Amino acid sequence: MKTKQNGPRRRYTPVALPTGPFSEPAAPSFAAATWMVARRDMTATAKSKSFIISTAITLICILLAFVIVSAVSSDSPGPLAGLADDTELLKVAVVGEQEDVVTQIPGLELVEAADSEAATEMVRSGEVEAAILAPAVAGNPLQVVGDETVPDQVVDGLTSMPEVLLLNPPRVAEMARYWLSLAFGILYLMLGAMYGQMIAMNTVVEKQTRIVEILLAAVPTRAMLAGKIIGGSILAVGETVAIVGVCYLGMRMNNMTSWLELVTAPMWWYVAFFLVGFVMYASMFTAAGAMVSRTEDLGGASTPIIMLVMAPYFLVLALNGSDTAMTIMSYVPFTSPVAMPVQLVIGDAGPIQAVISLAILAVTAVGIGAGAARIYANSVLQTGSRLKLRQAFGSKPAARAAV
Amino acid sequence: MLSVKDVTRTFGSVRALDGVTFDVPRGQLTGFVGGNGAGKTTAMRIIMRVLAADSGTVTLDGAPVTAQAARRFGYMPEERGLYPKMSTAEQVSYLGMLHGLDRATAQGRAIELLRILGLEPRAYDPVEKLSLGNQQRAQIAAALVHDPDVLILDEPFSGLDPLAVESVMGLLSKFADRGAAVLFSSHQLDLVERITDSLAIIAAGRIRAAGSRADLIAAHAPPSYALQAADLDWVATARGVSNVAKQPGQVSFQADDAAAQEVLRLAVARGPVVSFGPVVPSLAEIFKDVVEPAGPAANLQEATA
Repeated sequence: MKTKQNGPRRRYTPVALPTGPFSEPAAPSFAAATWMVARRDMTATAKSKSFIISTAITLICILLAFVIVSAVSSDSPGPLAGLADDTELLKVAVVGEQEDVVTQIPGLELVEAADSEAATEMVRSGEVEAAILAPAVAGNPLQVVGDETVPDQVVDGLTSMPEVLLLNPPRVAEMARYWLSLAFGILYLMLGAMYGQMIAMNTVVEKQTRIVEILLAAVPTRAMLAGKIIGGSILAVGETVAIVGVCYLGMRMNNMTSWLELVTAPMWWYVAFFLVGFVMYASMFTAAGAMVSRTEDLGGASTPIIMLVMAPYFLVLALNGSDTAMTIMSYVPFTSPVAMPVQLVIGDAGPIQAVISLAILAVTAVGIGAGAARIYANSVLQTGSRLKLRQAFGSKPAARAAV
Repeated sequence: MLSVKDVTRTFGSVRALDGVTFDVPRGQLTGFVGGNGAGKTTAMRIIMRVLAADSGTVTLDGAPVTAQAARRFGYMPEERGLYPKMSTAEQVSYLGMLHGLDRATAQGRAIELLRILGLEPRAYDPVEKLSLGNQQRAQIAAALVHDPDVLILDEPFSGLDPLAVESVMGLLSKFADRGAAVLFSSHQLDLVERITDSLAIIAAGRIRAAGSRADLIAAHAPPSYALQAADLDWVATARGVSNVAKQPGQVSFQADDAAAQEVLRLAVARGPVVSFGPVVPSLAEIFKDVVEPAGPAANLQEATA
């Protein structure tokens, strides 16, 4: 087992060392240097066993959750179902001639109504859950009228797909808002903290081993920083996309069509917000990593940033019942990556608000990125004790460690 | 030629470098010698622009060394560092690519350098699995992969076995022969003495002596002779002779040419002379002489000029 081959499978073909006069290879462009740094970081991470295993476990767990949901509940729970109690018979109003069609559906208690008007009124008053009516025009499908929603049982029980009319098209229920806040928040917290820490750790390791001196003797500082942020962000967003993809798959598998319609667009918004938000956090984590000299000291330096990553999760979860709080949080850069997608799901915000919020986040990210670049450049070559933020930020740090 | 001129650097209240001036000529190996904390590493970091000088200049062939110019240099920092989990071959070629080599060239040169340094069998192992000596070789390959014409190497020989020392020396000599300016620091004075053409000796942040090895020896060793004969007691009283040191059967002394010849004549007149000749001091002796605070400061100043 110990003979396991590490490193690339393909062996390098030797090239004779140059002789004669020195010739300068053209220095790589800023973009090329940045990409090389990003690619190295990504490859190094993607090759590590712990990364592969933890990612696989995360994805499998999510998929399993959907499998369990589908096994436990045979009918697909819509986001709006909730209150209907399966054990009781569902009251449905019917008008005379439709009775034959409907009696075959199990679990319904039929209430006869005089005509369509009366049946609709019964729905409105809450006396029945739904009304099944004759088509408005002969040859069209049956009409099913519901208040905020139509029980799936009714729709599924009919032999042909009915036309569904809702008297009070829904705002998404509180539960949906809660669960989505929870899901988006956890994902954000988990991936943000995990990949952020990873970037910070890479930065300290480079500093601790001093390879950063060799690297910075080869590439500009900003290319180094940009490469680290881009590499980490691609991985983090990659996993976000993978998780969102698995959720999508799971919902399809469970036929959760109403959920799907509701969350598909917000999920991609969520990915966009996560990307920009993560770049912001990645800058901060890199700066934190550059400020310490040993991996042991990293915890202290990155704690405030971890708290910033956790903030959206707790705030959005705690305050998601308040419209005002949610509206404010959906624009504040640190909470918007979680709050805005939730608002989009609920329908309290549309694409325009999302774009505005995203723009605010992007501007903040650029500002923080510039600050991080400064801290990184000032700190990453300094060894010794952990730097104070002010020292790291100042243009001429007061005390650089000797030798 | 790489020239360091009047470079000063202070850390807090400690003056790490004080008006440091020396040259690293092209086509030669220049040894940078000094005790612990003398300022070698600080000076090298300033040359590499990893650290900023408070004042002073570093020029290459007359032009100031910019960050961009320093990127061409081959650098081996004091504290060894490569990515622990990456294979040696991979990271040497990665560094080559960061310096602008295409992938095939970077990989090819990486493996060729590792072969020359005797590290080929371990080339695809992660660095953390290598012994310190082997990590050291990997580090040297990393500094050389982009074919730099200026080499700044902090203690490249420390921790290497004699065979590895030979192969590294061979590599560095090839770079020098092609016209590279090579500066390396070392504590191993015998080694430095053997391979360097020029030297800079630093102590407490000041260059105590710098120049070609021959000049240094001439400047720091007043003409000194050793005489082996039966009867030696009289030498101490001979004219023009000073610093006489007697050992059984041998005496060494300082004297100018004429006085030395006179001593030889007298010795021959008194009996058989086993041997007589000039004494060339070792670098270690010069180093001690130059660095010791009690040493004649005036002489040192002359030597740095």
